Amino acid sequence: MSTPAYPDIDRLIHAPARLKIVTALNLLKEADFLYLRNLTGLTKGNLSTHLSRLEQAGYVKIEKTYRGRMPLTLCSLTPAGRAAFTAYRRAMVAFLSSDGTPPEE
Amino acid sequence: MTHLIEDTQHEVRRYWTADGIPDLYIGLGLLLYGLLSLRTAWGGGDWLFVAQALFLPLWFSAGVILLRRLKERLTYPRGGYVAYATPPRRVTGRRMMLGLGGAVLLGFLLLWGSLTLKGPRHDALGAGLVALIFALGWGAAAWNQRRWRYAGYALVALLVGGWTVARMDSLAPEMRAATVHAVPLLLALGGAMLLGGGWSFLRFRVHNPVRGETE
Repeated sequence: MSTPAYPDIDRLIHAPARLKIVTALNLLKEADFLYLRNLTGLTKGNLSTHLSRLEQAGYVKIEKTYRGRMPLTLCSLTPAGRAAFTAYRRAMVAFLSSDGTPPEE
Repeated sequence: MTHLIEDTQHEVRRYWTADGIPDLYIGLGLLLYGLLSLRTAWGGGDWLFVAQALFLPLWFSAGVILLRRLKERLTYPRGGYVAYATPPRRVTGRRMMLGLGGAVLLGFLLLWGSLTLKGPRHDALGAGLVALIFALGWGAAAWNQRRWRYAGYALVALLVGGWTVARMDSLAPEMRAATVHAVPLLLALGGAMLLGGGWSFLRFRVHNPVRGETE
């Protein structure tokens, strides 16, 4: 039985924490830092690092504003981010359905 | 990885109902409407019919703004703020078709009932159908959101509907009038939703303490 070719996946999205962030933002117009922190269970520093990487890649737009006196960081997925997520999901589904087993590292 | 995607999507969709506030609002609306219906069924002035006709549209229209305000004040400082994206047209189109199909089926059943059944049997059909609609609606919500309390609301609607169909013949005229106005269903469902919503609201507050910073 031949092993299917390793899919051409986006490594930036493939990391579980970033995949969770991108998946959530794909369903949302926007979400704040607190929500993403609760959702992912990451520390503030870790989440900031992941969001910065996604922002640098042009996948996520980060807007810093205020709610009353509280600082508020709003995150949303850019059209490039949505396209990247759709392509990633398609590649993963196609790969898994070709063999039924996850890829080996 | 696909499991992670599915689980996350599921978690994001459930967030809107996690705090129990929508249950509390809808439950209170049903309870008040049930009391209004009870007063109407037991005889009341013309103003009661007007109030009954206006109550639900006004309550649910105001709900759009009120729920947002309540969530801004009570939910977002604890669990974080989200704004949901508008669903794609094919999804809204499918929902509208389902609603239309349901309305046509209900209209057909009511027409059939009024032509073929008389007296208590006709009343039982109407009241039973209303309960079935509520049960199906909450059943679909329970499946979609994977929430046990919604399955509980569906069960309450089914039980009340079953009781209505079984006991309609033996009810006193006043109670029968109230049952035709769906009073037992509205009161039972409203009460159940207030309990379920209140419990979820308290649970959400315990699991999501205020962190003193929004960032």
